[in-house]
Parts: sequence; C-alpha cells; structure tokens
Amino acid sequence: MTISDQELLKLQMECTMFFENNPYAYETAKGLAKKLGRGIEPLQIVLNRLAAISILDKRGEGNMAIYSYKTPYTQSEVEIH
Amino acid sequence: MQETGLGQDIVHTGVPGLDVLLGGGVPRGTTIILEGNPGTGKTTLGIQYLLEGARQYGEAGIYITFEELPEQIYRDMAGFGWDLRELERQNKLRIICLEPDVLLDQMMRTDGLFEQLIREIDCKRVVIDSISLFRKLGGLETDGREQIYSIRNIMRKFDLTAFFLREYGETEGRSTPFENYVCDGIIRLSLREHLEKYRKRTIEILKMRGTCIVEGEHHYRFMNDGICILPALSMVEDKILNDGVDRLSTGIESLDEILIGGLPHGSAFMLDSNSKANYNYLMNSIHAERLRQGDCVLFMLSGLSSIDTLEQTLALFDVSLKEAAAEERVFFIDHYHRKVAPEYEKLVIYVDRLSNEEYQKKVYEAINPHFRETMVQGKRWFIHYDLNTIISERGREFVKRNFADEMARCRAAGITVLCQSNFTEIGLETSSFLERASNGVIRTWVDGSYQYLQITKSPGGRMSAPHIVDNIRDRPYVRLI
Amino acid sequence: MIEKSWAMDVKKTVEEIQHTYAEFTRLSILIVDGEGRPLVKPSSYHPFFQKLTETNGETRERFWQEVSHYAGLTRPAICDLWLPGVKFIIAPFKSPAGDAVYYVVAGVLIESGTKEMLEEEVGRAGLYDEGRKLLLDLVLEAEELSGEEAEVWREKVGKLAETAERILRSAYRETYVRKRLVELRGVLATSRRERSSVEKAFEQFINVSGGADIIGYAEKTGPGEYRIGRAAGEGAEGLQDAEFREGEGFLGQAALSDGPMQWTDIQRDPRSLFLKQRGIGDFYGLRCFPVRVGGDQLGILFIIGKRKVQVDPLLRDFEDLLIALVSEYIASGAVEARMERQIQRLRPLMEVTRFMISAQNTQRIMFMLVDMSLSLVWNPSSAIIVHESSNGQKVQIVSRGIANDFAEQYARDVAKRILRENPAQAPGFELSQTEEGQLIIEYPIVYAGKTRGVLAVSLSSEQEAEECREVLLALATMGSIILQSVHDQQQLGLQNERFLRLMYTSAKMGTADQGKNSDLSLRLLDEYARYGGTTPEEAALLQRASMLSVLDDAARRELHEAFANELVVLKEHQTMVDSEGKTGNFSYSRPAQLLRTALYFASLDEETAGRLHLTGVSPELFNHFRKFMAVRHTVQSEVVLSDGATASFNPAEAEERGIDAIVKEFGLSKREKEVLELVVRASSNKDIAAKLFISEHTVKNHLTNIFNKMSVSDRAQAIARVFNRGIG
Repeated sequence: MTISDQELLKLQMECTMFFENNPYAYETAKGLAKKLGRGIEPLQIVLNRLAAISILDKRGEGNMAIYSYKTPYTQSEVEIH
Repeated sequence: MQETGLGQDIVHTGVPGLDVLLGGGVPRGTTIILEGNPGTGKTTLGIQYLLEGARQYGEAGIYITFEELPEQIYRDMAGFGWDLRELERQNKLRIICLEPDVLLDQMMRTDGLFEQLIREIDCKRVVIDSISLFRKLGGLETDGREQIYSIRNIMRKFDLTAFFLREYGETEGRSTPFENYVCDGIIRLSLREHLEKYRKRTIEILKMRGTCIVEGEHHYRFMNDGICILPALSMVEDKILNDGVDRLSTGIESLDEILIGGLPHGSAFMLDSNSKANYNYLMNSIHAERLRQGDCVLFMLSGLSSIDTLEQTLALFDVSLKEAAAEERVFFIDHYHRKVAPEYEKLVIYVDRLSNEEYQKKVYEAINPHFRETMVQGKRWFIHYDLNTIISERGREFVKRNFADEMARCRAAGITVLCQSNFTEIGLETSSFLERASNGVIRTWVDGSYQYLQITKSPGGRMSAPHIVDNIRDRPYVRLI
Repeated sequence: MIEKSWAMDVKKTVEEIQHTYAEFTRLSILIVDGEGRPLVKPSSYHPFFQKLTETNGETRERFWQEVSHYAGLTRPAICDLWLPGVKFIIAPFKSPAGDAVYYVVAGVLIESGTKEMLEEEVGRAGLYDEGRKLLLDLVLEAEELSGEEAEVWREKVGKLAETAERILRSAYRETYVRKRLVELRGVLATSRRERSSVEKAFEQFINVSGGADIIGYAEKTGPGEYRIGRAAGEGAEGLQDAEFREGEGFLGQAALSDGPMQWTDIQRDPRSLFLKQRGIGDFYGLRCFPVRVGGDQLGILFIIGKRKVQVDPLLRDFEDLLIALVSEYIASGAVEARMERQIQRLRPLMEVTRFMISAQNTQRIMFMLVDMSLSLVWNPSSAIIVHESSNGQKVQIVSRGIANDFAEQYARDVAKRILRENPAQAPGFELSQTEEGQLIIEYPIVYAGKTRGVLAVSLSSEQEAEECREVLLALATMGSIILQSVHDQQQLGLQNERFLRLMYTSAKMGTADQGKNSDLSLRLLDEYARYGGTTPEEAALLQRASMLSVLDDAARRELHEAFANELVVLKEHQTMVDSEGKTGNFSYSRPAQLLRTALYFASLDEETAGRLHLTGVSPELFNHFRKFMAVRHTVQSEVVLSDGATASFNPAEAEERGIDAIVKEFGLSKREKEVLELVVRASSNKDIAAKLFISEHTVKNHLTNIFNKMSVSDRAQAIARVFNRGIG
C-alpha cells in the first residue's frame, strides 16, 4: 500500500501537534497508532522522518523504538549589540 | 526550597488518613502492592500519592501506565481538580504510557529512558499501573517473576518509593503470588455491597515492613479532591477505651513491650499456635504472673494438661498452685473427670457428660458466687480458655453461637481472657470469626528451625513485626528477639 | 447629600458638643445651613431658639433673613441682628464635600450697659407683636457682657464650628467615601464580568462623584482621530458621536499627552468651544485621562465639572481612584473585545490554528511555528524564529538544525536589520542568500502595531521556495495573529492585575488596620520570594490572593473569572483558618499553606509570640518561613542602623557576601565554609552531617574550629557575624 505524500504530510502535522501538545510523552509507533487511530506503517515513516529532522528524539530500534519530543534550541536573552 | 527532613526516611503518602494507618508513612525505598478490583480507585490513589508528594513535599514522581491512555488519566483526575499537565510542566510529574516490554527494555539499559527521567525530574516516587501485565511477558511458562523482581530492584537502587498496582481478582484463590514476598507491603482496596443500598469501600493494609500499621479494614471515600481514608470506628473506640486501661504483665518483658505494657485489663486475647509451636512457656508465664499478682484464675483443663502438670509448670515460675488453691483463687473446668489432690477438689468443676446447656449452667453457678465475692474484695479475674478443648468437646457450633457472647460478658465484667487455639486446625471460617470476637491475637508458629511470635491484632490496632521466640535458661524461659 | 453627611449618629455627636458649648458660654446655639434650616436641635441656655422654632413661620423667616445677611463669612464674627446692639456670633464652616457652608449661630450678646437702652429700642421698633415679644424676652434674659468677654465667646463658638466641621468630615470619610467606592466597585466588577455597556459604569460614576457633572470617553478611531463614543451626565447628550482630531480643543490636546491633563477656570478659554457648542454650556474645569493597553492609546476618558468645587485632598484621592477604576474598566473591555474578534477570525482556520490558539504561550507558539515550517518544506534543513523579548531590549530565538552560535548571530542581524530599523513598516516576505550560498526565506511576524519577529526557513532551491512560500506565508500570518492574541491575553492579565490593585487600594480606604496587615503580607511574600522561599510567579499569585482576601465576598465573586486560581487558593486558605486548632487529616496545597503562613505572620504584632505551628501547614514549610521572619528582622534592624537601604536588600545575597567575607577574614577551609553555610541556613548538626556525608562528630569538630577561628562562642554569634559582614 502506498500512501500519498499529501497524506503523509497531514499525518506528520498530526504527529508534530501530538508531541507539541504532549511534550512529556514517550511513545512507540504501536502506542501512538492506538492513540491517534492511525496505521502503524505510515506512522513509522512519519515518526522516523520527524526524528530525521530532529523534531523527535528516538531511543531504541524497530518495534522497541521510543519517540519523544525534542525541545528546539531556545535562547531567550540574545543581546542586540 | 522546602526543606526535606534529612535523616528521616519515612515517605509520607500525603493521602488524607492513609499515613495514620501506616504509622506515619512508608519507609523510603520500599515497594508496595496496591491491589483491588477494577473501580476501587487504584489509579486515583496512585495518582494522589504522586500528586501529594509534589504538592506537599516537593517530591517528583513518575506514573507508568500500560493500560489507560494518558489523556484519560488527565481528564479523570481533572475531576478532582488536579492539573497533571501543570505538574508535568513544573517537572514534578511524568506520565509514561508504554508497552511493558518496551518499558522493561528501557529500564534495563544503562542510561535508558527510565534512568534519564529519574535524573531529569529528581524522581522520588513511582507508581506502576499495573504489574499484572508483566505476568504475560516472560512467556506462558513463567509468571513474570523475574521481570517484577528486576523492577523492584531498580526501584530500590534509585531509592524510589513505589506503588505497584495489581488487579485483585486475579490472585484470589490462588496460592500467594510471589510478588507478595518480593514487595514490602500490601494495601488492598475493596468494594462490597453493604446493607443492599450502599457500597462500602474499604482499605486494608495487609502487610508493611518496617513500620507500625493500624490493622483492620478502614473505609475510604472519593471526595471532591481525591480519596480520603476514614480510620475504622473500632480503631477510634479502641483508642479511647485503651487510654488509662491497666495492663496485665505477661511476665515476659519483651512480650510486654510489643503489647505496650501487657494484656489490657478486661480484654480477650487469642493465642494462636500451630501444633509444632511451643506455647506452654508463654501461657504459663502469663498464668504465673497473674497468680503472683494475687488475681483469681479460672483454668480450662485440656486433655493434655491436668492439675498436676499445671502445678509442676507453675512451680517452674516459682508460683505455688496449692497456695493459690488454699486462698481459693484458682478454679478448674475439667471435661475429663480426673482425680485430683484433696486440696483442689472443691475448686474443680466437672463438666463431663453434660449437655451444652447444662455445661454452661454448671460453670456459671459454680463460678458466680466466688466471682461476686472476690470482685467485692477488688480482685481481678483471669480466664484461661482452651478453645481446642471446647471445640472438640462442645462442638464448633457451640463456639460459634456462644463465644462472642461469652467474651462480651467477660469484657463487661472486667475479666481478662486468654484463649488458646489453633487456627489452622479450626479452619479458616471459624478462626476468622474467633479473631473478630477477640480484642487481640498473638500468633506463634514454627517456620524452619525457628519459632516466631507476632501480634497480629491488638485493641490499639497495632500490628507488631514478627519476632523470633528464643529459649533462655532462666525464668520466664523465653524471650522475643 | 446634605442629609447624608448629617447622618443620625453624626447629628447626635454634634448636638452633644453644641450643648456643652452652650452650657459653657451660657448662650443659645444652633447650627443651620445656608438657608437657615436648622441642622440639629437647638441648645438653649435661654429659650430663645426654642421659642423661635415655636413661633409662626414669618418670625422665623425674618430671623433667618437677618442671619443670611452674613452669608459669605469666612471667620466667626459678632453680628448685629434685628437691632443694632442685639448681637449674635455667627461662625461658618464647610460641609465635608466642600459644596455647602453651614453656620453656627450663637446668641444673644448684649454689651455692658446697653440693656435698658435696648429695651426701649425694642419697644420703639416697628415690629409686629410676636416678634417684639420674642426680642424683648431675649433682651431681658440676656446677660450683659464686656467687649473682652464677647471676644472670648466668639473664639469659643469658632472652635465649635471647627469641631463640627471635623466631625462631619471624618464621618464623611467613613460613610460617604467608602460606601460609594464599594458601590462603584461592585458595578464595575459586575459589568466587567457581564461585559455590559460602559454607560452603566458612567451613570454610577456620576452618581457617586462629587465634583464631576459629565463623564465621557472618546475612542481613538484612526491615527489622530477620535470620536466620543459615550458620555453621561446632565447635558451630555450632544457629545455623543462628536469627532475631533489630535490637538483640537482641550480633548485634542489631551490626546497628544501621555499622562492625565487638567484645566480649571476655563469658562472663557476658546479651547472649550468644542464642548460648549455641543450643549454643555459654560463649565469650570476639565480633567482628561489617557486609556491605554500596553503602549497602545485606546482613547481618552474625560470628566467635566460645571462649577468650582472645594477640593478636599481625600476627595481628590477618591475621585482619582474612581477615574482609574473606570479607565481600567474601559481598557480591559477593549482588550476583551479585540480578542473576541481575533478568535472569530481564526475560527474557520484549520486544526493547527485551534491547537496553536490553545497554547497561549509565546514560546510554545514559536516551537510550533518552527516545527510546522520544517514539516511544510520539502527538504527541511533548518528553521529559526527570532522574536523580541518582552522588554524589547533583547531577542529570543527558537531554532532547529542551526548551529547555536550561528543562530544567535543571525538573530542579532535580524534584530538590527528588521526589528530596530523599521519596525512600524511591515515588510513582505523576502528571499535571500547567505554568503555560503544558502537560500533563506524570511517572513515578518507583525502584531500590536509593529514587526516583532521574523520566521526564517532555509530552502534547498529557488523552485522549492516557489512551491513553499505561500503555505509558509500562511503559517507566518497565522503565527502573527495568534501571537497578537497571546499579547492581548497578557495585556488583559496585566490589566486585570492593575484592576485588582485598584480594588484593593479602594477596599483599604478607611480601614487602616486591615490595610496595614495586608500590605505587610504583600511585602513578606515579596521578600520571601527573594529569600528563595518561593518562585517570583508563586509569590505574585499569593500576593494577588492576599489582595483578594481584603475584598468583600461580592467583589471577589465578580472577579472570579480573572482570578480563578487565586480564589481557589484563597478558599483553601479560609478552610485552613476555620480548621485551625482542630485535629484531623488535612491536605492543603503548598500555595494555600504559604498564604496561610504569610497572612498569619503578617497579622502578628511584633511583640506577640506566635504559634509554633499552624493546622494544615507542614512543619517544614512553617519553620522555613519562621526562619525567614527571624532573618528578616535581623536584617531589618541591622539595615536601619546602617542607613535604611531596604529596597534593594536581599538577605540571601547578604548571606553569601557575609560568608565570603568571613572565609577570607578568618581563613576558613573549603569544608568549614560548607559547614558554615549550612549553619547560617539553620541546619542542625544532624542535617549538616547528612548533607555533607560526614559524621555528626566530624561536624562538631568543624564547628569548634570555625567558632575558634571566628572567635565566637556559639551558632547564634556566628550567624550574627555572617549577617554583619554581609550587610557591611
């Protein structure tokens, strides 16, 4: 089964939102699939993509991999010289 | 910057009422099983334990769940006015929802997720909901023993005080689940139909290492802001009744200590021993001490103990039964019509070949005049009640019908009673009934090469830790270690 | 209003004093208003006033006509009434609101040696029967007084007038001001909650205000343009919808000013023409107050007084407070309306938007913008958002996929290039290329009137830029709108807080004692936060709860929405107070425990030895606070000795300074320093042992060494010395 890029993008947004909303959540693809009500396979693609662009942290491999939100680099006190 | 009491290694659960039952809290680093049927509030209590830790004591906690979606927990707990997300933002709480195998995998790794989280929020408390799922982990032939054991050890390693939630139904009727030995305490939540309309929620602490607990079933309620435990009425009553009550020394210093001074005057205690255990020294020490103090004692003679043997054993405690007989301070109930020395004759109530009604009447009529007379003189009465004999001679039904009544009458008259019984032989049903009818239970049993003694019930609700019964050369020949 | 300032108990008090003076001077005394109406019962030494009140109307009328000749007196004077030689003392005094003059009339005085002559005069005077008889009696009964004696009586009666004025004024403070404030607060709070019209608030304002006849609000409709949206008061109808520009007339001038403006005696000033022409007619004074949210001017609140009014300082405070309340009310209403509009605008947008709105936190929105833009780009590599910090002096950044130092350098560049140079002019999005050849697309984040940030995403090719720029623009625009709503939310929070402060200040008026305690609790919470006991946020919440505790129930209920959390804490606090001393199991949140402790300590007199624990407050927390109180006292008294620079004083810092100084001075080892630090924080030997992983015995050894080196004999002296060094 192939999934259109469009759908993947939508799913990616959904995942991003999920993790932004639950910044302390730790999820496996299986667990997240249950929560979002989505298929595991596309979810795995999306989760890995999000991990690749360092929005998510990934621990472990395969079915045992755990994904969690990676806080972006923030600096709130940049002096303007 | 709230200061935590250093050197103080008790973790206050913070759940209203629970710490009272736990004698202040649970020792840090222990693992406690919290069991109950679905709907008894295990999750609520578990979350409350973490929440109060964060709110009152500034201790962070992790809630690990395998079953529920965290969203469900957030929503449910919002009903109690608990904002768990806010606690997460404050780094006081994490709710982790992972499959058991994945969690375990991470837990076993050095610097795995679990370890990282503990460091990240300086976690002190953990709740795992529930350990029942671990059973399925190791495959069919195991019961998840290894996994749970590992997790328990991980908790201990990080000095985490953990609650393991467990479905109650699944262990019912089976042999004691292994985790009961692995963990340091068991708290049970129950929900029972009560008076048709009400459902009674009770909490009971079945076991707790390293802390004095208040035993018995206590009610708990769901309040607007979580669970609140109401200590059992009996506990309150006992507490009131206990204050200012004389304590009758058992003659064994270490036993008096765990009884907080001795047997309360006017209480009914059960001495439960299995057949291997030697309870004779214990009992005779108590009897000797009564006689030494000038009390009146009514002995129920068993098939094994005649007046002669009694006289001999008491002599070991430097108490003369004959002298007491001369003062008319000792009486005997004999079911076997044995010959006695003349000085005892009029003090023995022969109850052989009597129906139950006749038996009761005879004992009552024989004792009553003495009782009244001596009470006027201000003497205390003590009854040694051999339940084993009564059950074999009078039958189980007789005991069930009359025992509670008799004990109540004795209590009312200020008579202290020590019943000797063997719960294992009597059977679970009757013995639990007997236990309820008594104010206290002293259990002694042999396990391996040691004999143990434990106060499993007392009017103040205190349970003692099990002690080893050690034989010594001098009076009272036993001590507790 | 006259009746109100002469409330029953005030009347009684004045009467009593009047009687005392009458006894003393053997004069008949009566206090009347400007039209001769008696305000209290007469005190008759001889029954003149009594009789006068019993006469027919005409006689009384004539007497008061005589008195009224002297209207406008400013000092007590001896005046002839009816006949030259029949003298009365008339002493004027002002009503507390300054809007009326009352008179003490005392008489009758007859100069020595004139009695016989006056008897004849009365007989000769063309008076009708009743009047003559009365006057005759008066003269006959009067004692003759020397000029000096009369002068003494004049002074005395003057004193009576002063006293009456003072009594009235203090009663006025008690009842008039407070009651009205409560009323107005109630109305404002209610209408705030119900978002009902400003008219109601205005109406109420006119009712309770002494000096204002008209109140109005001119809303800014465009750059430099204003329109009077609402006005209330007599003759205000014509003002409705009147428009003016900046600089035009008084209102136009007020629009150019940052602060309140006030003009008086302007009947002939041409600038008043604008208002006069709209049906106001002549007026005496005008006060204008800018209404603003953050830096935005929303409009001008103005108050017109038609007549000149005597201004009592208390009343001026009162009016200022009223005006401030009304202007805060208008400002918060405006913010709420604006937010409502934004939410309406966003509603049709996607899931993402709703999610972003719900965040209501600048940083989280920045996270989302960065993450979403990375998700939207084909070949994502990096994204960064640069946003000005709340004070505008620095910038904050959120980035992914960029080296940290590069991110900061870029942020500075953006700050100079866009945020500083031309913030008012909103640029469109821009595609640019870095020196390394990296394509970057930048979108401005514009809200609250200027460019406040930039979202930048790196792209792999021009083609990709072409593909993505629209969707990224949509994202940036959405971000702008949502950040605006967060900004407004924050402004609303500030507005709410200011509103609460005003309510609090007004509730304190007239109840000095309560105010003292609550002021102290606010200070304690502030200091406790600096001491390290709470976070600043926690302290702020507790301060708000503490202020709410002074308000009455009704006011608190009305503020429920804006201060829900604070009220929860306050309610919990009340439960704690109620259960004080009771036994049982209590579980209270830390904020409630803190509030209970702080309010409790604030309520203690310096001398009172306080409780050793409070029901429901954990002993740890309580003891920590107690230590803080002890340190605070030490510090305060020390500071008083050494020239009160309390404001910037920080006990924790002083502690640190003190320890450093001691370490240097007495050559303490590293371990000794650690031990001393713990001693100063009031740790026991056992605590210290546990914290440093050493035995108690070792702790004792260290202590002995420390004490020896410092040449002190015990902990208390050691602590005192640390503080001394810290302060010095």
